[in-house]
Amino acid sequence: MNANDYIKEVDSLPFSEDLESRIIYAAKNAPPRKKRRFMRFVPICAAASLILVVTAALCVSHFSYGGDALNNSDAYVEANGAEYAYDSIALFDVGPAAGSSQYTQKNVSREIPLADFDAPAESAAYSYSDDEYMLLLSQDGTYLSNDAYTIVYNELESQDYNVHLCEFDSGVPVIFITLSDAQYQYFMVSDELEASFILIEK
Amino acid sequence: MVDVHTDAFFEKAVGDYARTVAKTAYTYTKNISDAEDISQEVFIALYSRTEGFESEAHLKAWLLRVTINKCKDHLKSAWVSRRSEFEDNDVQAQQQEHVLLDALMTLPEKYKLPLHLHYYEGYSINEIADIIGEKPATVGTRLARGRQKLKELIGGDTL
Repeated sequence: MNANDYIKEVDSLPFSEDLESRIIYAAKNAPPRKKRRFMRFVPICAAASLILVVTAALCVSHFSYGGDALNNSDAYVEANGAEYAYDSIALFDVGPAAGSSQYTQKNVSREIPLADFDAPAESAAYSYSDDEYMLLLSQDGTYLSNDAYTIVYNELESQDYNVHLCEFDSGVPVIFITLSDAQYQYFMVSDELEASFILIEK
Repeated sequence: MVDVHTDAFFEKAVGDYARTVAKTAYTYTKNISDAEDISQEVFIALYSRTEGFESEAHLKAWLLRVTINKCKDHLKSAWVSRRSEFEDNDVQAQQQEHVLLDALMTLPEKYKLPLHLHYYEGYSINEIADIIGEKPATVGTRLARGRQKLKELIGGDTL
């Protein structure tokens, strides 16, 4: 066995006698491929673009409330004339936005820096009005999942506070907004905001 | 520069390289009909090409590159994967006398194509590297390993 044997074997493959003429006929009678493919992809691309635009618009619409929440934080900074600190506790009034069934963060009642917060004893020490919520924030996203969170959760629950668990999916912070009817919505937060939130309803 | 816009050029290219393309396609498809269909697709691509070629060698290398790509697309198609077992048996029955060719086609793609291009088409390692888009050293290694694997399969001196 050598290379010549291989060449003989390949040359003996039983290809059609009229292979060349068939190829020439097929090529000369084939539809213009480039144009046909291009024309075929135009409506596909247009439809895909439309779907993407609509999806993006829906996503923006759906998640805009989360963004608004962050923007509200910015507004909160302006309103208080101080830099907003995520590692703090803020008390928010939560109620329906005007003309909307969605609930939104309306006002900041007060802010307590975490450094001054001795959970859980002090957490229970604050009094809440009926529509007032406590928002715990942590800077690195770990505070709420560690023992301190458990302590706060258990303590508040034992005192009949309606605590909605804050869950994390793949480390992406999630905001839970508690509604008056005890339902809640959640919003994904961008990675840039490395904060975790929990809303605790009295 | 080879002008591709004439029927004479196209018909000469088909006459010169249709079977070269079909034989290369066969090393992938193990099926005569599929190899002929792929040859047809390759030359339809050539027929619709607007750019010229620097030389005959450039034309042949382009045809082989297109053949390889179309073979890969062909093997990825669902139809081929569903029917492959039946067709393989059929071809084996027809091609029992092709000891070396059948053995070569059992090798992984990375070995059989350099072996075919080197021993049948007479391409150098550098030319094969250019056609399949690999480094010459890689092609050299694959040729050596491919030969070794063939030797293990059929014994003797093989290629």
